[in-house]
Amino acid sequence: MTRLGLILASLRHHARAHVGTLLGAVVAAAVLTGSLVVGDSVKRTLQDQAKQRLGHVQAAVELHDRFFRDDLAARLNLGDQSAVAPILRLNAAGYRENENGQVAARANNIQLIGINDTFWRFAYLKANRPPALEEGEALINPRLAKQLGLKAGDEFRLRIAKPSVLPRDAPLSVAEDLTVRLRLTVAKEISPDSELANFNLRPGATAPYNVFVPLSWLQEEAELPERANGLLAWAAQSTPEQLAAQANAQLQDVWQLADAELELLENEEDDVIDLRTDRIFLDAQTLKAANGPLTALTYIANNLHHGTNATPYSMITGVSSNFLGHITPTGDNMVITEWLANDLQVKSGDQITVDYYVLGLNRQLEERPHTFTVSGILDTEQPGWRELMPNFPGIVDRDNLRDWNPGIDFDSGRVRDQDEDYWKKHRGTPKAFIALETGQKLWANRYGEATTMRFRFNATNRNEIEAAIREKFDPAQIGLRFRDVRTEAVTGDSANDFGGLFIGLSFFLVLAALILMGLLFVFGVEQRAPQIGTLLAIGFTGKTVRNLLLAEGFVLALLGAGLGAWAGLGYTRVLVDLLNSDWGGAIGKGNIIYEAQPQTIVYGMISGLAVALFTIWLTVRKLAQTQAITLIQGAPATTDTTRAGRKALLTAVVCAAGAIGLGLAMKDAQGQMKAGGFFGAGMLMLVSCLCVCHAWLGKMATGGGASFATLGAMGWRGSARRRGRSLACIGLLACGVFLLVAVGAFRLDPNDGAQERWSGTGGFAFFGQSDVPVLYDLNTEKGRDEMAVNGDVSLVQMRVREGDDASCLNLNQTREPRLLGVDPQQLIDREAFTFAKGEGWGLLNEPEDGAVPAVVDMNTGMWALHVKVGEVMDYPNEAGGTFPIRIVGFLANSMLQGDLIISEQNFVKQFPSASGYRAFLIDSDDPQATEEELSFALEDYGLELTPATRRLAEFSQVQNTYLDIFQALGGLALLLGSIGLGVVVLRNVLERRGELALLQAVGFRKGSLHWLVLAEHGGLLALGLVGGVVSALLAVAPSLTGPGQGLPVDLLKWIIGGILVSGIFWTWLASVAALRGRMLTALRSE
Amino acid sequence: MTDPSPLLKLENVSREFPSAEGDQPLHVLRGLSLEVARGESVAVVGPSGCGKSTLLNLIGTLDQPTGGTLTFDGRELGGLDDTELAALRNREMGFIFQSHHLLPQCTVMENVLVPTLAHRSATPDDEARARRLLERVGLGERLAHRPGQLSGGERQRAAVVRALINEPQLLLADEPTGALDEATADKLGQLLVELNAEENLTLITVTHSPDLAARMARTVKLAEGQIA
Repeated sequence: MTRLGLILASLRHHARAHVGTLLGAVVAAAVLTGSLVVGDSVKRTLQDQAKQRLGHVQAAVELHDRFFRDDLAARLNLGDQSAVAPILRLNAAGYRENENGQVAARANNIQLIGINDTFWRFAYLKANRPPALEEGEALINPRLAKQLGLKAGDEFRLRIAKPSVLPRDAPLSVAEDLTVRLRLTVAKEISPDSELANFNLRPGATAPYNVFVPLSWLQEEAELPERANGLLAWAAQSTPEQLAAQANAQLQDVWQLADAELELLENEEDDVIDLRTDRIFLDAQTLKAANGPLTALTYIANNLHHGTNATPYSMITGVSSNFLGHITPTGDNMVITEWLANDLQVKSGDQITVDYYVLGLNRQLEERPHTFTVSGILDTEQPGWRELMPNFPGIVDRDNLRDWNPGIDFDSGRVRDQDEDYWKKHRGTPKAFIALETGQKLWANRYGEATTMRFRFNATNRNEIEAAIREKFDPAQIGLRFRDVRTEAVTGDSANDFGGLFIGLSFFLVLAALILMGLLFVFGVEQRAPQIGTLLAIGFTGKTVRNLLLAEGFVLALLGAGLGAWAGLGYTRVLVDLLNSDWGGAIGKGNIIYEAQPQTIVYGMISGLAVALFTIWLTVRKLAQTQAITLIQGAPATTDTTRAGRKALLTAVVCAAGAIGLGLAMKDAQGQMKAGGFFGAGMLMLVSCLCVCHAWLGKMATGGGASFATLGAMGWRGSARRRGRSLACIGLLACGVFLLVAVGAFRLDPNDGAQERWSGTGGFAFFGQSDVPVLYDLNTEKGRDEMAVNGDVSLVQMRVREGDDASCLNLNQTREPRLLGVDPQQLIDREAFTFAKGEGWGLLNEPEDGAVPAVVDMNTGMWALHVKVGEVMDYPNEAGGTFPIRIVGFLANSMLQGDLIISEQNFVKQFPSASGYRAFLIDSDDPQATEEELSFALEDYGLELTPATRRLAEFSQVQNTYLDIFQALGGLALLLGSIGLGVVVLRNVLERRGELALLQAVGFRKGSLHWLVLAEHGGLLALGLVGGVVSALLAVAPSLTGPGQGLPVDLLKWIIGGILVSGIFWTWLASVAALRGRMLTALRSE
Repeated sequence: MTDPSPLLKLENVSREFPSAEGDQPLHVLRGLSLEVARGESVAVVGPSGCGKSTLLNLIGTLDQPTGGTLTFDGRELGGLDDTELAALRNREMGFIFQSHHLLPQCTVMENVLVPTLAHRSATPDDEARARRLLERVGLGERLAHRPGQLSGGERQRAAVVRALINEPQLLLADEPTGALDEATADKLGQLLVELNAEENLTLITVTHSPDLAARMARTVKLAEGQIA
């Protein structure tokens, strides 16, 4: 005979009694394992998505608003088994016409990707044969095929923003011919698995719309010959990280000036070598790297006038010292040409006023004057002057001055014959020179501060200059930098730990299972109280007895954990099915693939074992402290009711006072703090309610409280007999009700106050996004004229820097969310949106420690970016570096989820090349008319208008679905709770069958006995409900006034009704089961 | 040579139980003093509620007095902690209750050996002793039976053997024949007396049965918490 033998014998003998305990352990372990396996499934899904969108791509270069030469790919050699492919990726809007030429289907935000044959080396091709693709043909992915209803051979059209090397917002950039229309025939719908149909360098909530066309054809159509804006790399022998490092090192060696849109123009005759850029303006980094001896900034003067004499449309050049040889203009002096001196009739010492345009943020032109003093007069043209005019679009290629079409207001009527003659004879030769510093003060902009850097042909040579520039210029400054796109993607790390999330959501279900398990285990142990007492009496220590019981419990918990882990896989399958159907709102539009990793199952098992064992330890720890003789007599373990009651009452008073105090203190608090404070107050109130119940039951147990005047009162008294059980029931029900009601109050109604500025829509009617940037301010008449928008519109325009989708709809981890640049004043004036944290849009104008202030939706901040208000995160800028962004505010439940919002001023500083506006918050009193007008006017821009309420509803759906899941699992838990109540009833009645038989013997009918049992346990039900509801209402009080939130009356009704019905049902069932048969037999056996 | 000192000595022992708030505590034993010699057999008798079982529980260290001292084999019990008391009960005392409280999941043999598991595993010597004792009380054929397969008298005899397995000095019996019919009770009474002699046991039994009390060497009568 050994202790192990004793334990095994006990397990065998009490097997039936242990079934309930085992089931509780199984449920707990199943839920825990199942939840963790959901995490595996999400991970596997994201890994599969990553494989589909990246193929073999390990590292990639992705340029925004810049282009390099496509032969850069060929210049890189990354080893024997490697590939580098250039791509030209452009945004497009597409549609398919029906037989009548009407638009039958549309799709926006299409990725139009120009590819060459190398691209297919990144696909998991079957039979190694890439799909055939001719000019004018397109390969499309299934999502686009479905959206536009296309099949092989069908025609469709795309509209792209015509790419421009010169940013559209740059001064003198032409804002015409902004789009290019393409007619394409579908060659084939390609496979996401083998043909990289869902290619995307950024993770998204859904597969993109993809169109693949021949690179050379797209370059031609987009007027970007030999240009690309993306590189894909793969090498068999390298890790993605190594490859990115190796490729970046090589880039430094093989990049050429043309890759940075720079060129060196040699003119031996004029003794010059000029460094110029197609982007017109040379930025400071380039100038610093080139470090040439002479610098010039040429600009257009609308008018040069002296008195009544005026010369229109002339080039003026700011020059560095020595540029003009012996004469150098300084300060506000101006050196003019002979032609201008004659035209204006001026001489040295006279003053000339220059009128010129500066371009505002949204192409608003402002004409400014500046007066100079003539300090010298030079020949009309000298060698090398003509080349000082940059290739201004709309000017450089015009034969006649009157035909100019510059990106500024141009009045050809002002052009005189002598101006036309000058243009024909001298082209863009500057008519005046000023100091470079003065020119830069007037005309330097975010794109650059010079138009030409000049070297002397006889003093150096092209190769030397190029070598010097290449040595000092880091191509990463213009975004030419390989990024390891694979490592993050294939780890399958999601924005959130879904395993943990589902454990949180299932928390109450686990708790209920454990409480039920604990109750059943303790019932079993209580039945054996005399035996346990005997063991103590014959010399077993309390610790030994407890360990014997724990050992029994361990075997049950281990068995339960094993079975539970197995059952948990089924639980996961159910959850995954639900996530792919009814609960799809929680994961956006993804489709979760079931996956269970062995180690996760083991973790689930261990967790299940640990929690079950802990619960069993909690239940037996007191039992073994009870006096042996008490147990031998079969009496329950009791405590000093009077002292315990006093302690409970004191705790109740302290907690209630704490709840009231906390509620009052948090009355004027804001956002999260207020919500957290009130939730805490609710919890304290719940504890207070449970303590009151504890004390009250204690009082009744000692004969106080309810009288015996009625059968019901007698029942109430009965509920005090086993206070532990009664309190467990009350506690379980109250906690369940508390959590479900409190959480239910966080449900969002996107239509609640949707017209109001404080709401999640900001009071806007639409959220608009365009594929082609809008360059003008549509709030102004001029802007509306330019864009052919009829009637008034009121809107907030935002600049966009594309990034990862950081909304709750995207399961992937996001590091670079989309960035929006907005004029904060427009939102301040409208008092739009509610801040959960932070003090309004004005904060965007208040940089601190050099960090750019940003506002983000609270859900995005907390769940996608994992940042807090006040935290700083780095964000890549256009210059290849990063800049710090400080989160200064959280928006509450807004439709701006997924984006980081900074001020437009800061935006253009960091992304000077990002032209125009592509996101819009649109006001409207007549949404239908506004939608029709804007959709028509901006059709070419691929404008997609989403009603604000619908956009908000899509985001709210995520939160609401999680609440649904929590409540569904919580509901299951409450069902377990009410089953627990039934078990308690059954146990109580069985224990007292003799007493009840006695009542029957003295004349009570069986119906009365049922009523007695119902009254006794109905009281517990009522106490649990009341305690839970009261505490929950206190907890959610502040949330009831938040945007889209309110008292969940329907939910309350369902919860209370459901629990009442379920509780009464189980109580009734248990009393019927316990009181069936011949009761008087029980009396005789007593 | 027999040790002349008493095995058990109670001096001025009291036991009070707290009552409901405001009421006087319940005095069950009031300054009781008693000595029991080694090998003596004592019957404790008295009306219900006089404190017989409470006295037995105090002697068996299942309860603690609220006043006075208990000395067992020269050791004052008040100075021992729970572990020492458990060890004392295990090695020096045996208990027989009105109900047998055998473990239903164990055989007769196993039940008898349970006390040996309190601090170690059962040895072959324990098993031999258990077998001998069970044969002695007439259960030699019932070793592999479970309690549910025994009669009331057999169960109580098995409980007696369980109490003796660790060779205790003191056997405490609380109404050992209370749940038995007259004939069975008579046999059990006889068995206890015989074992008292054979095993050199000190026997204290609480009983309402005059027959059983009469078999003991000494009878102590309690009334209102004191020796009458």
